[in-house]
Amino acid sequence: MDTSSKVDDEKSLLARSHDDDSAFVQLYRSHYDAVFRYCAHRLFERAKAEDVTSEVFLKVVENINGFKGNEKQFRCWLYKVATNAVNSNLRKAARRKRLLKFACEHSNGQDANCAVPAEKFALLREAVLTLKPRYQTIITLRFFENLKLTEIAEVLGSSPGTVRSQLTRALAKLRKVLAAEFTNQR
Amino acid sequence: MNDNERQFEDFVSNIKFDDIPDPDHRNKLEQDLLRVLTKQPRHKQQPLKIWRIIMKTKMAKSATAAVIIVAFVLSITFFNNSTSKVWAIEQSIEALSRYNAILFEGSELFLGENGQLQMRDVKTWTVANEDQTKVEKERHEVDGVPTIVTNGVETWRYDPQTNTVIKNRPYGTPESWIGSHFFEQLSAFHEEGVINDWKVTYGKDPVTGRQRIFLTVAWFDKRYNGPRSMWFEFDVESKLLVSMKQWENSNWEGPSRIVSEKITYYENLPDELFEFEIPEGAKVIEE
Repeated sequence: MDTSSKVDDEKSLLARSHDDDSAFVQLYRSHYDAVFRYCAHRLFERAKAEDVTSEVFLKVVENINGFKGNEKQFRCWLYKVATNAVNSNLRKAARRKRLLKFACEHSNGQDANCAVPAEKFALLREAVLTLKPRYQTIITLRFFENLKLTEIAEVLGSSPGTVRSQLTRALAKLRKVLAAEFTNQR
Repeated sequence: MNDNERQFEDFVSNIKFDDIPDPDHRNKLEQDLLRVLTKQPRHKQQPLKIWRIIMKTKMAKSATAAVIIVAFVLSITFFNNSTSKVWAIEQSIEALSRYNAILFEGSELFLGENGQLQMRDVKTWTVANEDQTKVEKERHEVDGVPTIVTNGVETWRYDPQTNTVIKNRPYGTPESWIGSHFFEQLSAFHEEGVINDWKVTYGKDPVTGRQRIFLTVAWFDKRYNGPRSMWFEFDVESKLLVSMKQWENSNWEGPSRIVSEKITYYENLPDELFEFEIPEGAKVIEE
C-alpha cells in the first residue's frame, strides 16, 4: 500500500470510527503498539504501562465523537491523552515512593523494596524520573518515539522553540546525573 | 542533532526495554473497548434525512433560525455552568508543574504599632526546589522594601524600623511551594477526608471577562496547620492559579491573612534577584 492510500484509509477510518465500531477497532489496532511503547518508555514497567494504555483507550472511546481533527492530529491527541495519564500515574507513584522511602529509612533497608537497582536500565530510569514530568515527556517523545520538535510542541500545546530549549535543559540535567555513563561511552 | 542529543541517543540505544506489546493484553483491551462502545450512544445518520425534508418549507426555515438565535444567546448566558464539565484539579496540577518560579503580588495582614491589624502591600518572588515541594529561593518585599531574601544558601531578614539585618546560614523554615505539589497534597487531603470543606464554583473575571473557577477549602486538623480556610481562583483556559486568599480560621471569617491578587509564572528567575544588598548603615547580626 502506498503512503497516500494509507493516509486516505486512516482518514476514512477516523471519520467512520464515530459511528462504526469495527472502524474504531481498526484504528485502535493501528495505534495500540505506539501508545503502549510510549507508556512503557515513560513508566519503565510493563504492568503499569498496560494499565495506563487501557486508561488511554478508554478515554479515547469516551471522547472520539468530539474529536474533529485529521489523522496527524489524532496521533498527537493520543500522545496528549497518554501524557496526562502517565503524569497522573507518576504523581501517585511519587506519593507512594515517599511513603516507601520513609518506611525504608525506618527499617534499616532490610525490606526487599528498599534494594537499590544497579543495571544501566535502572540508572536511566532513576535519571529520567528525576526530571519534571514535562521534561520526561519531551525526552521520551524525542528519543524513544522519534517525534519531531513540531509534533512534540503540538502534543504539549507549546511552541517548537520552547520545546527545543526545554529539551536542551532536560539533556543537561540528565548529563549531570548520568555523567559517568556518558564519559564511559567516549 | 547536537552532541548532547547524539550522546544520549547512543546511551539509550544500548538499553533493552521491556516494550514489546503483549497480544493478550491488546486483545483483552479490544474486547473491553467493544463492550464500552456497545453501551455508548453513537451518531445516527437517519435523523439528517428527516431534517432535510422538514427544512424545505420557508416557515420551518424561519422558525429554525429563530430557535438557533435563542439557543445561541442562552448558551452564552449559561456558559458558566458548562465549564464545570471541563475542569478538574488534576488539570491545574499539570499546568502548574510546568513552572518553577512564581511572583505573588498582593497584601498581608500585620499587627501595627497601634495594636491594630492592618494590611500592607507585598510582593514575593519564589523559585521552587528541584522536586517542586518547597520554596528554595525567595524575595519578599513589603511596600517595596526587601524584608526576607534567601538564595537557598543564605537568608537575610531585614527590619527597616531598626535598620537591622539578621543573616542566617540556612533558610530556617522553608515555605511550602504553592505549585502543583501543594494542590496535589490538598487534593490528597480532600480524598482522605482531612479537608472538611471543598467547593468548586464558576464565574468570570469582572475586568477581563475570562472564565474562572473558584475553589474554596477549609480544614480544622492541627497536624496540617489548621484551622485554615483558603480561596483559590483558577483561569479556565490556562488552568493556572491566578489569585488566592488565606484565613487563619476555618470559616473564611474576617480579613484574610494573605491575599495574592496577581500571580505571574516564570520558568526561572535571575539569581541576582535573590541576593541581598545590605542597606547603608544597617547593623548586621550573623546567627
